Amino acid sequence: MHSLSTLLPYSERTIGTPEDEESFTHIMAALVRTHSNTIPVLARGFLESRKYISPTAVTEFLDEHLRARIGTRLIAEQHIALHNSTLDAGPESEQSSYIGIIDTALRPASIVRSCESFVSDICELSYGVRPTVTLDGEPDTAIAHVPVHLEYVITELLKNAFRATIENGKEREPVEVTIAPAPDTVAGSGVEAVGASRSSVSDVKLPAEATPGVTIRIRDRGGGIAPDDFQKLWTYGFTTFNDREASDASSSGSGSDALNIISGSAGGGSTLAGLGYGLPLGRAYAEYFGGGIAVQSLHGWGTDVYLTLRGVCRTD
Amino acid sequence: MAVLQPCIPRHVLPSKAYLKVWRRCQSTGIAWRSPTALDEWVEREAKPISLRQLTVFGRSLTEARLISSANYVRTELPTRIAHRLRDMQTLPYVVITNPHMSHVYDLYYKAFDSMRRLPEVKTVEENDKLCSIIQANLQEHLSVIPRLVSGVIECQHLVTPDTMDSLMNTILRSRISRRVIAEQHLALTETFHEPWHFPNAKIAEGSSEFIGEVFLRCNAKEVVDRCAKAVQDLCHHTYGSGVAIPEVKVLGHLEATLTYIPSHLEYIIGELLRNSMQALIERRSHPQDPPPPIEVLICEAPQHVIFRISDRGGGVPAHMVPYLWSFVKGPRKQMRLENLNKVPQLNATLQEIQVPDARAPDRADATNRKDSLGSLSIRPPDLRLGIGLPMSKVYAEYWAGSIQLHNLEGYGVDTFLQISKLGNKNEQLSTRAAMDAL
Repeated sequence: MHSLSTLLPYSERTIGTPEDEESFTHIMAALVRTHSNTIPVLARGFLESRKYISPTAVTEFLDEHLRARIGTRLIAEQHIALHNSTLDAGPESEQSSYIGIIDTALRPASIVRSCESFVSDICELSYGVRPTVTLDGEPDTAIAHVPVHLEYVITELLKNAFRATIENGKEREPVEVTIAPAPDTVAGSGVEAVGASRSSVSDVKLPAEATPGVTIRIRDRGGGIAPDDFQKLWTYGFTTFNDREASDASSSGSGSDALNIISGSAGGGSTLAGLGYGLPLGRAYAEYFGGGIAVQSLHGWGTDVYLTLRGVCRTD
Repeated sequence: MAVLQPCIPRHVLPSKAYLKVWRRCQSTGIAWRSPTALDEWVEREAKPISLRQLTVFGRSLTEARLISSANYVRTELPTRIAHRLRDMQTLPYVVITNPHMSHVYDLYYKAFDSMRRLPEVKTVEENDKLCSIIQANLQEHLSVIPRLVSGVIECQHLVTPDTMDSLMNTILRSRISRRVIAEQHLALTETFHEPWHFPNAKIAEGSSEFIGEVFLRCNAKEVVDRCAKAVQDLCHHTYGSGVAIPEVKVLGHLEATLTYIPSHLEYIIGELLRNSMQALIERRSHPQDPPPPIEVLICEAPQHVIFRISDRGGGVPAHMVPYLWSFVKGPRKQMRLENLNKVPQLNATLQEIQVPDARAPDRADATNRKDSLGSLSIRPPDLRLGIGLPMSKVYAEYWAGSIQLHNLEGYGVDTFLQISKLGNKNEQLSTRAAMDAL
């Protein structure tokens, strides 16, 4: 409500001058900041009211709501980033691969590495062991994507993989991450958009031509997912953490388990672990630009997660 | 969709005209057969069985049990085939006039007609007669799969591809089920006639791990190894000795065993390994390096055995992905039709994909019993029919398993085959109600 009333006046007049633009940007930046804590609040709310509402209804609502949120924030943040880049248009920004918040030469491998060290730190803090990641495939692949999105998704997936691996007592077995670049398909060769994107939100128009994408496979030895749990994998609020831990995580953000205070470092997520938002929200991020997440469990052995991403534009 | 019953009601046409139409139909070879003969049989539901039922039944084989098995087969086969005939009768008329489709229809009708007239089996001699009829039918019906696939591809524009695919799935699943029942009975009869078989003698624990066609302790790793060897020999023969053949590494729970029909499992794993190996040899991004191995992980869960086959053969091109599991859809139809025409008979077993001179090792050495059908139909190893994956899926789902494929485009493919290991799952038959709901 507050956001709407703030922004509504702007829709009635066009922004004509740089001064107008600047004040608008400031207002928007403030809004983006106030909203950064929305998800934990929502999560907490649904946790407390779960007696009164069915999980399918929650999932339906959150799917739609959070996908819209991704879009809204993306537009706002993109504008803020563009605004800021006009301010400090120094010489170094000439070579920068960033356009707004999109990195046109994003190397998934480096994101995996930085997320790895981040998640490992937390594991060491809480479990005293540091699982490792081996990278294979073609780590030099670069795509055009939003780094904060990718960071969020990979952090969530690595968190799942690491926790399972440690709890299964296989922390010596590295988590294998394979980066596979999809070949750059020639445009107009009758390529259709592939993938079971079940998103009902069609606000995003995918690029007509196929853009280079990447498939990231995260393979762990964490014992897999029990068939019963597998059904609930994509339900918001489903977690293998117990309830008390979950509510701890949402209320204070400093639960006994340090995994809970993980926050997707830049904007993406915040205190979400143990709330059961990681996978479904990760999938919402992945599907936003026409990608997806598939999970394959080998119960008694481990889990393979396939994250496919499509670049938002062509890399040069 | 306009549905024409392929029959001409007598009361509509005067008898002369009826005869004229009938003669014309005879000359074009289209079967005009009354659907009413089916009615009684279509009303019966198929009685699903499980592998465990098959084994328990066959464990202590007596004459009475053999006779009762014979009568189950005698009534169950025409029941199941009648359902499939009815499915075909409800197809649009133009589809059944396709020579391939009408060939299959005729075969099915002939089999149904001969089976439904059989009197109750009361003696071992009568059972032997039944067995020879079954045997002849099994042999004659080997042409069904290639003809059917050719037929549905040729008729692709006449009905929706989804209708065709679901028809194929139903027909093939039912075909597997009938062959399982028939072959199991043949195997039991064979066991009964073995000189060492004494009625009422309990089979000593461990003396034989086969009961009929069912292998009680099928070792997952051995199956993979056997298939790998067969497929490697095949590739060696196809591509010549100058080409490096990829290794197959088996990891995971190597002791896992399952109760299964080995020819089913071998067919699926054989097809999957063949896909991987051909991709590795033909479509790798760095052909100059030695091919990376194919990794097969065996995972034993409480109720399932899961096989994960990972290759680095470059993956599936994105535009092919939606068509992987379809018999009908997708590009390359012309090539597939031409290849299908070169294959008169198809049993869909691994053994039949044979190198002409060097016989692929069959499983007889491990089990000292002969596969009654394994070598009856042989097809050239390098013909691409485009039915390996959908056919494997039909086989896997028949005993309540599943196949899933994850594509890492530009890198490789992971295929997950999940098999129920206890043998307590009923066969998954498509019911008529489910068909009608489509």
